[in-house]
Amino acid sequence: MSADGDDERVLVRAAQAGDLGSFERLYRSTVGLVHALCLRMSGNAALAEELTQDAFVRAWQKLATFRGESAFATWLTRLTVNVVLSERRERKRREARITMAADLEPFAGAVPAARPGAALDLERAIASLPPQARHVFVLHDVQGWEHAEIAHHTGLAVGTCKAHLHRARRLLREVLSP
Amino acid sequence: MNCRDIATRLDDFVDGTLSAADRGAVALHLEACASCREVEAEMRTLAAGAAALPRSIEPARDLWPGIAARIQGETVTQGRFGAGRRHRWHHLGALAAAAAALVVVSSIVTTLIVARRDAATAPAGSGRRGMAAGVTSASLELSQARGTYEAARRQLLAALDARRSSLSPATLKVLDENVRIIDEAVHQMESALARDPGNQELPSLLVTAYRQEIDMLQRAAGLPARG
Repeated sequence: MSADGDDERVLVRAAQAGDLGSFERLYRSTVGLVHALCLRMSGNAALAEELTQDAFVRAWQKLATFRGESAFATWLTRLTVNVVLSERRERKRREARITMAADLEPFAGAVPAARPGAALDLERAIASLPPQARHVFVLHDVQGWEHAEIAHHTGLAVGTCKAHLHRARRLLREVLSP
Repeated sequence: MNCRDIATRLDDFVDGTLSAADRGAVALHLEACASCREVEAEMRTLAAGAAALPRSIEPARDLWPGIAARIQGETVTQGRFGAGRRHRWHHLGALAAAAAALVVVSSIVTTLIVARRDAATAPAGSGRRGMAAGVTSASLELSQARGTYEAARRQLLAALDARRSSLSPATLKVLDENVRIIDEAVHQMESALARDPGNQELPSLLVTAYRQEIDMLQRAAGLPARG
């Protein structure tokens, strides 16, 4: 199911007015995008589910701030990145959270049919990257963000983002090269 | 430009963000240097692979019931005390319940961390050989977490039962339904694990389900009384 164009605007307006049913329809049409982003940025299937839930709860709380200047999915993606990065910062502070082993099963059903092995290897390799290198790689090379936008969200300098991307690509090439 | 100069510019070259002057110099070097061309080719393959990854991956289970429960919990909280501020732990009784919940959740965390640390520091070769047949480090970890979870669950359910009359029927309905859903999921995973005790994924999924139920009950214990 997808909610786009006029339909999406109607659903957003209804959800902003407090209609949970409309928000559920928005959830159904965008949960895959949010979950994929959480999964790749966290490298952890169990944590990705929690982050996905957190992102939608946050989206509901912040819905009044969505002005329709971008697509709902674009707004939601930025909000999700902030949720993931905030969780990462909090977790580093607490250092007492259960850490699950990386579980790549959720990727298995979603890889492109043409080269399933290569795509799954790439997902696995991305999940094994150091956190900041993984965040920058996912946002730049998978999501297509510019370094300036990544720097804005992560609080890193543009040069530092570029260094993380360089490192991520080097590590991935080392892992994936035959 | 030598190969080291190229290495510092190749990311921007592949991304198409290099200045025109540098772009020409890098291209010139690549024509003459096979090893740098190989790196460039690998980088382009990687970039194409990353860009082709699916943008959407559905979660393995429906996350909406948990989201709806949390939103409705927030609505109850905000409706009672005003929007924009959280007063989950307003009442002294709720605060005590929350503290108790934190203690038991911490206990689960500690159990897991200690189990992992012990596993990590165990002498080489002392792992599987020392375990009974069918017992893995994951299942051992799970059995330790299960005991703590069951105690935490009993304590929190008792706390919730004690204040049922102070919560609205709508809130109770959502809570009961979510307890039922998680219990059913736990039961199914435990049944599956009993059939396949060597499964490496099920223990971590079960611990996640335990944690979700404790988290939800913890939230429930903190909900304000209806007005």
